[in-house]
Amino acid sequence: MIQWDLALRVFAFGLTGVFVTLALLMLCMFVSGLIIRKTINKKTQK
Amino acid sequence: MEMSFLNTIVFKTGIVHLYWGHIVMWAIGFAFIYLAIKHQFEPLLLVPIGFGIFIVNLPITPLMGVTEGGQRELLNIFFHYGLEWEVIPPLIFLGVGALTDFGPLIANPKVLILGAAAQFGVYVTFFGALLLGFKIPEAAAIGIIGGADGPTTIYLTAKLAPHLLGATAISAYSYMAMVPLIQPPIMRLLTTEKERKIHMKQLRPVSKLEKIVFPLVGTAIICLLVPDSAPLMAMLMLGNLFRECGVVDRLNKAAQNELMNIVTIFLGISVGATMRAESFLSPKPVFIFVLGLVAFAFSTAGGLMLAKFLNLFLKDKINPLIGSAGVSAVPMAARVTQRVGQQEDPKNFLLMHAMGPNVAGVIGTATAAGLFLTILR
Repeated sequence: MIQWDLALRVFAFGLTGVFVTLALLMLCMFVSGLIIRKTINKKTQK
Repeated sequence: MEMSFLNTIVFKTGIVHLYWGHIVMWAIGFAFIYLAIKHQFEPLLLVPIGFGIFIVNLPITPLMGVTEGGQRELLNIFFHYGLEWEVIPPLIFLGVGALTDFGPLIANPKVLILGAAAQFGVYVTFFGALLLGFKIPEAAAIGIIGGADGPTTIYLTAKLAPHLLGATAISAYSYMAMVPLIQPPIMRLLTTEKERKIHMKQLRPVSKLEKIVFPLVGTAIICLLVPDSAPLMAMLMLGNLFRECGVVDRLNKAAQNELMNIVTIFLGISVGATMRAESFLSPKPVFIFVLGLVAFAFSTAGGLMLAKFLNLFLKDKINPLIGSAGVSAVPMAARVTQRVGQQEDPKNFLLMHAMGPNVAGVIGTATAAGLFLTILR
């Protein structure tokens, strides 16, 4: 007997979780990349 | 007296305990060794796996059992400490991290989403496995084959459904070896000629500092959100930090070469040793192989379709073929993207663009495995 409620929770939580986690990582990479590049640019201008 | 002694000796040889199941398993083991030697299909894994299958199906050999004193036998020790104790898959990830250049991903972080979309097959197959009568933890272990990541498949299966370890591992590695055969027809079916000819803007150069910061930021984000993926993610990122920091060359080389090779030997033989005729010869492994193929196909399609969807909004269009590289098989899937792209336009170089979603797929699959563990353990 399949526990459909648990199966649906695994599906919804799992797929959403993967997207949210990687989207947050993407955001952090954009921000950290921006900060690092600005810092490097400032240093080279000096 | 002599007759009974002779009887005892004869009964203690393996020959009298042989049955047709052992012979079938030998044939499977020899087939893996043949494929590895003749066709170079994942030889580093298929040779030890094939040999493991062969020796564990030699009857009454003291290899995979437990002695009367409760002591584990040789291959059982490798299996117990290597896989059940979660040692081998994270160590493989350490080596993968040391071998992987995350530069293309850092240069174009939006392709992380393609790595997430390529996990679609994992969840489709999860439902497929449930419909075929597998229990929820078993279905999760089968679904993760769609991530095309051998160590993650083994890691998750050892935790959720250890009795399926041989079948899921073999399925994952077999399909990873067959990526060049499985993916191109799906890629051509789901994209137009015009889409396959899209040239992408050259990736920006990535500074050393960005490459050093990435493993730290990546570990923090993934492990804070999905702590159960930490054994894999932390080791992947540590390996990458070894590579990028530039001051631990010896550790970097050890992780890429000696450690990776040693661990691969133990991984292969331990996985092969789980495939005993008594437990393996049933309809379940056949279902797992079929479901593994479904998982691969849907994961490829998931990455492609999301890339097409993103193109509706992006000014600088992405070639949807790189979405198919979101399955983890590194760098095979990226090479397939390059090849299919160049069949349409020989001047189109997609390899570096495809490496981004490819390594994103590794992160995505480890995250998906962590989420399964979070819910099901």
